[in-house]
Amino acid sequence: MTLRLPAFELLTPQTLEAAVAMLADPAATIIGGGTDLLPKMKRRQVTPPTVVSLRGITEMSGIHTDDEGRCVIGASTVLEQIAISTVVPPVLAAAARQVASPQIRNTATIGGNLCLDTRCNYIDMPELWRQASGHCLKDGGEVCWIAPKGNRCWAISSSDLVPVAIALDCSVRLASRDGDRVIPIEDLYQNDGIAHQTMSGDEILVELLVPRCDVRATYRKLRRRDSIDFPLVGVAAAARFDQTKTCTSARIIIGAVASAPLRATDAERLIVGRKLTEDVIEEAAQLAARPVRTQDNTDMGSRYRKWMTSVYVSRALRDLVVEDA
Amino acid sequence: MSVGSSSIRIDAHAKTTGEAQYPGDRAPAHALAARVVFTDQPHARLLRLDVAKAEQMPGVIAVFTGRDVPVNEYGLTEFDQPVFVSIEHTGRTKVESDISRWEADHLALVVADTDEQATAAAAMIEADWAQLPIVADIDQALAPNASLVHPELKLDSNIYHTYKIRKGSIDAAWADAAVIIETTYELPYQEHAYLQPEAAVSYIDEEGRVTLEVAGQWAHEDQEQIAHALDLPVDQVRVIYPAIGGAFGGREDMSLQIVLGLAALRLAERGEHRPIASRWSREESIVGHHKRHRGRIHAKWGADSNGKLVAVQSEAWLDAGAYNYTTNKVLGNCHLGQAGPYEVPNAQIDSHAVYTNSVPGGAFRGFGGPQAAFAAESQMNKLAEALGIDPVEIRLRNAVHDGSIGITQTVMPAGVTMLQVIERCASESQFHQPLTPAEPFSPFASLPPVEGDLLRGRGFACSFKNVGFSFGFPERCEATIVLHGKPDSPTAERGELFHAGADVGQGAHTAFLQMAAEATGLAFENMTGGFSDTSSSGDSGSASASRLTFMSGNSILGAAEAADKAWRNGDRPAVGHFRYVPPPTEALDPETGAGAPNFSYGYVAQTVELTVDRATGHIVVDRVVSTHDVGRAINPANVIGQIEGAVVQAHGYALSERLQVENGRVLNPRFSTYLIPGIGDVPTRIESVVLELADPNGPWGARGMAEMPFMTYAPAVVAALHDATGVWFDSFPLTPDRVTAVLAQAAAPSSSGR
Ligand SMILES: Cc1cc2nc3c(=O)[nH]c(=O)nc-3n(C[C@H](O)[C@H](O)[C@H](O)COP(=O)(O)OP(=O)(O)OC[C@H]3O[C@@H](n4cnc5c(N)ncnc54)[C@H](O)[C@@H]3O)c2cc1C
Repeated sequence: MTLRLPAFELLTPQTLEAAVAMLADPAATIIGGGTDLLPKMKRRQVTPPTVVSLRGITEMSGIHTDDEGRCVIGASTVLEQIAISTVVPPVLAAAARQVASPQIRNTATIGGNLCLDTRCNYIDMPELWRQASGHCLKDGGEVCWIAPKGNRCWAISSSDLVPVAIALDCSVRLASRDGDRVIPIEDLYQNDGIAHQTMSGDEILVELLVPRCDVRATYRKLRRRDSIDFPLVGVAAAARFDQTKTCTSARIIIGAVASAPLRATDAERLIVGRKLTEDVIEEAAQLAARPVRTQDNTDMGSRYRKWMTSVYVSRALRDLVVEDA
Repeated sequence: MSVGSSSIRIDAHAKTTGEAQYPGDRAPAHALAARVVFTDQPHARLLRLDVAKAEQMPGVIAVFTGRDVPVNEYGLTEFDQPVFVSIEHTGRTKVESDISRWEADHLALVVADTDEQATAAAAMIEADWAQLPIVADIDQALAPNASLVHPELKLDSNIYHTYKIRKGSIDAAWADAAVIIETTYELPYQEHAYLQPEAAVSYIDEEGRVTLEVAGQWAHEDQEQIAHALDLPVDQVRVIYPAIGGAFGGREDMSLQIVLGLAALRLAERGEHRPIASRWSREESIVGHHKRHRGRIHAKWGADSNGKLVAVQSEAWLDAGAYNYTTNKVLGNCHLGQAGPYEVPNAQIDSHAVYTNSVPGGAFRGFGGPQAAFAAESQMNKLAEALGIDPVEIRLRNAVHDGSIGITQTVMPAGVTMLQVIERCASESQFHQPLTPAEPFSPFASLPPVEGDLLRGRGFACSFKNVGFSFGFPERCEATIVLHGKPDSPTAERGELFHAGADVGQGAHTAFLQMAAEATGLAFENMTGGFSDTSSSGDSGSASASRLTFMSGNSILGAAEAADKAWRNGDRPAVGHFRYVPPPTEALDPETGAGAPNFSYGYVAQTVELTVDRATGHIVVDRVVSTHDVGRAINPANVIGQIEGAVVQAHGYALSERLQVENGRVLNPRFSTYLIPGIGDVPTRIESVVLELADPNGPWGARGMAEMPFMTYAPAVVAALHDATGVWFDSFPLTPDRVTAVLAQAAAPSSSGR
C-alpha cells in the first residue's frame, strides 16, 4: 500500500505572533522541514488536522551573534546551513553534518531536530502493521512491546544535535501566548518515550542560544552505515582544562540510549580535578555506561549498544585530551 | 569499429533528463487504478471470502478474485502457485488454491477510478481464515513432524528437489588428506532493491490482444504465463517492456502481469476499455517479490600436504519459501559451485530445495552461485591457512584449466581461463607485496582515528559462473535485421534490429546495436532498434544468467548474415532472421550428477583489502581488484559499470543488508531498516581488470560477465577479515554487532579460536 499523507489544513503564518495565536488551537501541530513529521503522518502515527509551518517567519531563520557573544540559531534554520557555518561551534556543525543525508539536511530544521519525536521499531511502522501487532503504549495501546512488564514507553531520543547542545550548556527560547521564556536546553527533555519533552503543546521553540564556546568538545556517533543512519549511540563531551591539563569542568551526554539524553554525572565527577590519562578515561567510560539500559528497539542489539557506549565515551574523552604542543 | 568501443548508451539522454518512461510513467491520465490485495497470511486456509462490500464502495469498477481466473495457477518453472487464493475452483488448477502459503499471496484485485478509492475498497474485503502451522525456516521444515507446505506433492518431507554428485570415493580419500576442514556456513537473504518498484499498465491493443506494459526480464515468458492463466492463445497476449529500472533476477517472476492482464480481459468483456494501471509501494515490492535464497551449506574438504584437493563433501539446503519460482534452477548452480572452480577427484555433494512458508527464494545475480562460492572459497582459504600455503598458490595448484574434468565428470567447455585470471588478479593487486599497515584515518564518521583498534587485512577468492541457464534447457535467441538502401547500391544505408532482449538498465540495447552495426558493416549511428515487444520480435530468452550478450550477439551475427544474403539477392528492404541455438547441454544424472551441464563459463578473481575497527566492528573496504575474463568487451565502459555495480551490490550482501523474516513475515520491508550501502559505505577503490581471452563460441569471443563480480566478494571480504583479525566468519552480513560478538567469542579463554 503506497503510504499517502492524510488530509490536513496547512497554515503559513508570517509572524511569530500569528503562529503563537494559531497554536492556541490544541489540534494544531508545528511543522519545520517535515522530515520527521510527514513520514509519521503517512504512517498514521499522528494525524493532526491543522499543521502550522514556521518557514514563512523570516526572523526565525538564520544564525547571528548577540550582544552577549552568544550564537543565536533560529529554529527554522536548516541543518545544512549549520553544517557549513563558521559561526557556530565546530562540534555543532560536525554533529549537523552527521544527520541523515544531504537532501534531508537541506530541508530539516534545527527546531525539528531539537523537538524530534522519540523513535522505536514498533511505533515507526505503517498503520496496518501496528494494527496487526496490536497498538503499543505510545500508539494509544496498553503495553510497551519492548518491555511489556513495565508501564512506560522506551522509545529512543534520536537527535544528533541535542546531546551536543546540552554538552555546550545551550539554552532555548520558547514562545507562547503567555510570553517568552528561556530555559537551559537540558531541562527540555525527560526520560519518557511519550512525554519526552517538558514544553507544552502550544509553545514554539524559537531559537537555540549557544554560549560563547570556551570548551574542548566532541561528538561521536555510532551507526551501522556512514550514509543516512540515525544514531545508535551518540556521545557528546565537553570539558575545560587548566594549564596543567587538569580537567576543571566536564559534561558527558549520551544520546540514543534512552528516551532522553543521559548525563553521565558519575563520569563527569570522576574526571573533574584529574588529568585525562588512559586509566581515568577507561574508568570514566565504564562509569558512564553502567546506568545505561538499552533496549532492542532500534538497529543492532541492546547489548552491543550498551557495550559501544563505553567504547564511544572513551573515544570521545580521548578526543578531549590536550596534546603536547 | 563498433564492437569494443564505449559507445554512449542510447538511453543515456532520456534517463538523465527524466524523459525515459518506466512502467509507472506509462499510465495515461484516464487510466483506472488497480490495487493488489495480499492475503497477509503466511499459512492459512481460506474459509470465506466476501467482496460484496468492496464492490459497493465509491468509484469501484470491479473486484477480481480466483473465480474470475480461467486457469488459477502459474509459475516460471512449475505451476505451483494460485493466481489468487480462492475457494471457488475452476477445476483447472493443480495446486489447492484455497490455501495461502505466503503472506504476499494474492487475494483480490480491486479496480476503481482512483487509487484512493481502490485502497479504500480493498479494506472492505472480508476474509475468514483457518490458521495452518507456519513452517518458518529450514530448521522447522526439516523437523521430524513438520507440517508440509505442499502436501499435494505427496512427498514425505518439505525437501522437494535434490541434486547429487557422486564422483570417486570420498571415504577412501580422507585417508590421503593432510588436512581436513569442516564448517557449516549460514547464508542470508538478499533483497534486489531495484530502483523501480513493480508497476504495469494493461489494455486491449488495436489488434485485440491483452497487452501489458511492464518491466520484466523475458517478454516471451511473461507472455506465455499470462496466456496460460487467462487460457488464451499466446498470440492473443502482447508484452511490451518500456524502460526498466533494474532487475537483477527480481523481475523474472510474475508480479502484476497476470492480474492486470485478467482485469483488461474481463473489463473489455464488459465494454470497459480504459487502461488499468497499478504500482506497488516499496514495502509491497519488498514483501511481494522473491529474494536471494537464504540457506545453509555444510562442507568438508580435504587436501594433501601439497595443497591438492583429495575430496569434497558438501550438503546444501536452500530455503525455497512457499513456491518454487526458479529455485530448482538456482539450486543447480549452487550445486555445481560447491566444489569451486577446482579439479576434485572425489566428491559427494547433495543439494536440497526446501519449501517453507517464508518469502520465496529465486533468481538474483549469481543464481545460487554466490552462496556456493562463499562456502567453497572459505574452505579453500582455510585449507591454505592450515597448510601454510599462499592462497593464490593453492588455487593455482587446483584450478580447472582447458581439458580439466569438471565436478560433473565431463570435460569443461573449451576456453577455461581460471589460471590466467587468478594470476592476473594476484599481480594487479600486488598480492604478494606487504600490505601497508592501517593509517589512522576517518573515512567513516563513526569510525574515529583510533590507531590501536584499526587492523588491516587482505583476502583472495576466485570463482566461475555458467553463461546461460543450461542443464539441458533448450536455450535459444532470435534476432531480425532489416537493411534499407538503394536498389542498385552494393551496401545498405541503414539498418533496423528487432530484438526482444530486455535492457534492464545494463545497457543491453546499446550493445545489441553495436554488435548489429559491426555485423552488418554499418556505422553505429545508422543502426536503429525496435526492442522488447512480443508483437515485433522473436523470443530472445531471458536477460539473466549472464547470457544475453553471448546469446544476442550470436543471434545478431546470424541475422546479419541472412540479411546480407537477402540484400545480395536484391531484396529491398532486405530482411534477415536468425534463431541461435548454443551447443547442447545435459541434465545431470539424478544419482551421480554426471553430465555436461553448460556450454560456457566466465571466470573471476578478486583481491579485497579492508580495515576493521576491532573495538566497534566497523569495516571499511579500502580496495577491491576485480579481475575478469569477459572474452571480449563489447562495450568496455558498460563492462566496468557491471563490475562496479556488482561489487557494490555484493558489498551490501556481505556487510550490511539483513532481511528480518520471522514466522513467514518480512519485518523490515523498507530502506530505513533494510540497509543497503550508501555512497559513504561502498569500497573506497574498485579496480576493474578486464581480460579478453575469447570464448570459442562467443560472439567476437564475448562471454557473460555481469554476475561474476558478485560471486567472490563475500568470501574475499571474510578472508581479508581473517587476515586482519585471525578469526573466521562463517556467516554474514558482517554488521558491526556481529563482528564484535564473534571477535569477543574468539578471544574468550574457553574458545578454541574459531
Ligand atoms: C531517513 C532519515 C534519516 C534521519 N536521520 C537522522 C539522523 O541521523 N539524526 C537526527 O538527528 N535526525 C535524523 N532524522 C530525523 C529528522 O530528519 C531530523 O531530526 C530533522 O532535523 C527534523 O527536522 P524537521 O524540521 O524536518 O522536523 P519536522 O518533521 O518538521 O518536526 C519534527 C517535530 O518537531 C516539532 N517541531 C518542529 N519545529 C518546532 C519548533 N520550532 N517548535 C516546537 N516544535 C517543533 C514538530 O511538531 C514535530 O513533532 C532522519 C530522518 C529521516 C527521514
